[in-house]
Amino acid sequence: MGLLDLLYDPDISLRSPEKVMDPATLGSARLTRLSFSRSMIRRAALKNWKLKRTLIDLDESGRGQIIYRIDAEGHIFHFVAFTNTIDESLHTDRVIADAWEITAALIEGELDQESLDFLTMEVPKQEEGRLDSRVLVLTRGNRSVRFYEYLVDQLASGSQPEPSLVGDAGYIMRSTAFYGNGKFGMRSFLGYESNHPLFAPYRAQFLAAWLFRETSYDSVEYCAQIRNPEKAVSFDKEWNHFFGLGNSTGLGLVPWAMKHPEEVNAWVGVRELALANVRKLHDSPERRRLLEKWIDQAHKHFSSFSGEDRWPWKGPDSLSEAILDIHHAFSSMTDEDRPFDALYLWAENQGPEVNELVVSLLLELDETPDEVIDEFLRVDTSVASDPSMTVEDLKKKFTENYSWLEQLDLESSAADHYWWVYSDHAEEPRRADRSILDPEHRDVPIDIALRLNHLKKDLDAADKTTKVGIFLQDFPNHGIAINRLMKDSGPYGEPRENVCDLNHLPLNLQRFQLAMYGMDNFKAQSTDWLRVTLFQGAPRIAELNADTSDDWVWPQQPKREQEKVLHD
Amino acid sequence: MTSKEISVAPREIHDLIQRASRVKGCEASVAERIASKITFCEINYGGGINSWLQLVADDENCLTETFKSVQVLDSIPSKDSLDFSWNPSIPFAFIAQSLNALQSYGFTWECNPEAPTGDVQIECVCLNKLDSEKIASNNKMNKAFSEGLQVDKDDWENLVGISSRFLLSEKILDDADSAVYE
Repeated sequence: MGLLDLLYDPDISLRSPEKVMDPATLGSARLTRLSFSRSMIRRAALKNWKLKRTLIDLDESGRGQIIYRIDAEGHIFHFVAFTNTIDESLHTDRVIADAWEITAALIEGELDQESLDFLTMEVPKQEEGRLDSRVLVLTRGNRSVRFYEYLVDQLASGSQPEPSLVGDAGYIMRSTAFYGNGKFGMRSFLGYESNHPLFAPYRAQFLAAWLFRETSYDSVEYCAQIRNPEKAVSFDKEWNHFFGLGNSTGLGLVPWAMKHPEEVNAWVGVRELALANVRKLHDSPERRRLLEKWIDQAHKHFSSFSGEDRWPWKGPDSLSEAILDIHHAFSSMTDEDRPFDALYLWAENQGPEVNELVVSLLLELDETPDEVIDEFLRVDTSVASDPSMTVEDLKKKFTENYSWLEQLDLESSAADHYWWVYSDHAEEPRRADRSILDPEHRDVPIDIALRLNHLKKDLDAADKTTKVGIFLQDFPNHGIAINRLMKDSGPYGEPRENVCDLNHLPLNLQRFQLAMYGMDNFKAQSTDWLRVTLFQGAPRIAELNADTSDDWVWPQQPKREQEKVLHD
Repeated sequence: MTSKEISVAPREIHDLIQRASRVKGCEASVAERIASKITFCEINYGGGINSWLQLVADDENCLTETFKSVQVLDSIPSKDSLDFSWNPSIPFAFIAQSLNALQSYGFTWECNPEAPTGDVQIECVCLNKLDSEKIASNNKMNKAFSEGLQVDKDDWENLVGISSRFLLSEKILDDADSAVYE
């Protein structure tokens, strides 16, 4: 069965789209075993990918080049990173930066001199460069101003880092973009054949992100070695996994979510199917032990940090307490035939963040094969419109799928307060106040709720037997809204909100997508952007083997040297 | 690829035509459909981008009118045999995708003049219903996705220049207090 068949199967008890696609629920999402960072490493381990560093050529400040080679299922890839130092004043999390301390690309194929010269010329230019179909991903970022030099100095002096100084952020370098899918001439996502190891959505980007994180580790350890060959040490076992890759994310995720209902439906749909699978599981000692292990791991992770709530989300202190509550609740469910369903039902009354944290924990019990998930995530966005449909058919679809729009107050003055636009500086997505700036044909058409509302009025006034093609001849401006109605993206394709509304909070859609990627440690910096980490706890590439476990997420902050001695 | 060509991805054609069509006054839905048509034609027949550029060079404001004049092909004809004519003629790029879609509903088509590329001006199209449906091959599309597409470099740079006017000045946005990161 296909994904849509399952999502519409009345015998499968799924959460309602009203709940799941509510902004507060989306904005409470957490990484799960289905998140792309984890599924990528599972695939790499299962399929015996071989990754190795083939070149590291840096000066003592970390400027130079690092290259990794990946042998994956008969395909050869290279991740080529160019590193530099720039003045701290040039560091910015915004996409508009003109200089970075690391720029890199993931390419498919052998890396001959011509390819390397090509990358050396084009990759550091980022958006100003011109790539071709050899290149799969283009990325860039900066070192952490606070941590990089400190970490090099610590290792160079033969010491490990002091947790209180570097443990709260959890990264060495921070990325600001992962471009792919045809941007700047790169290979299109649809250009990966079905047996390609990077066939699943965002797998190429997450391979690149994992190697970006590896680059940050290698850079620090190598520089320490150059600075003090006699005394320098590498990161010890705990620190070797603790650092992830930082990332900052702005408004670009909002247009993506509004333009890709099929993908959004698939991302949410696979998670909801997995949750439904787990909720119907009967009790067993093995399952109970597994869930308790994950609850314990999550508690140790959040309690090893300290931090108060940071609007609009809970911080480590609150999450640590919440996990204790989850543990107590689950421990009391000893007589339940289906304790996992009981735990979920308990969580529904604990607020969206605890609810989604429980969903994340429960999903560890799901055993849906990765190949099935990958196939479900690869959606068909090229479904042709059906010109035989009539106005009456559209109105019926409206009633079936979009009645929720009535709750958005789309006639109020606040409903079209904002319009979305790309600035001329690196095409940074922004939103502008309509009362101050007129769009003048520059609006990015993600005002889906408003468009559907306008369409409904014209459909109501039209002859119900009119064919859609004829209707469109009279109302060509409704093309986007009609496509939305005609293509059945699935029950979870539409966030239940109007992104042009005065009170729209971009953080909700951003967090949903970042959680699906596998990012965590959400730190909102304003209503419009946030910082996160990914791959915290993940194996280094040299450690990857068929036995690499999938429980690397949620690592504990390493202890101080003195504390280790006491514990030992 | 020659020095006069540049390798581009299908989505780039779509994005640039969409933006450039907005710059030339099209509403978002209309620009989206034009972008879809031009991209399809560029991949399958060539000449799509050039036809768009020629059209706006002749008349800055004719995109929407041209689009409206070809919408008739986006419905399934009620008769088994039908002729459509345009005066003035229209670029093949604006009808190639619709004609291919009609093939999947069992219609064959002939153009006058015959249409090897998207920039050929079409005056008349004849549709005839057959018993069997014809599914168009996706080979060219697949190749474009995996290897990119070679297009005329001058045309591309011209299109990049027009589409860049879709973007709004950062200074104007800053002056209008549009939210920023820092």
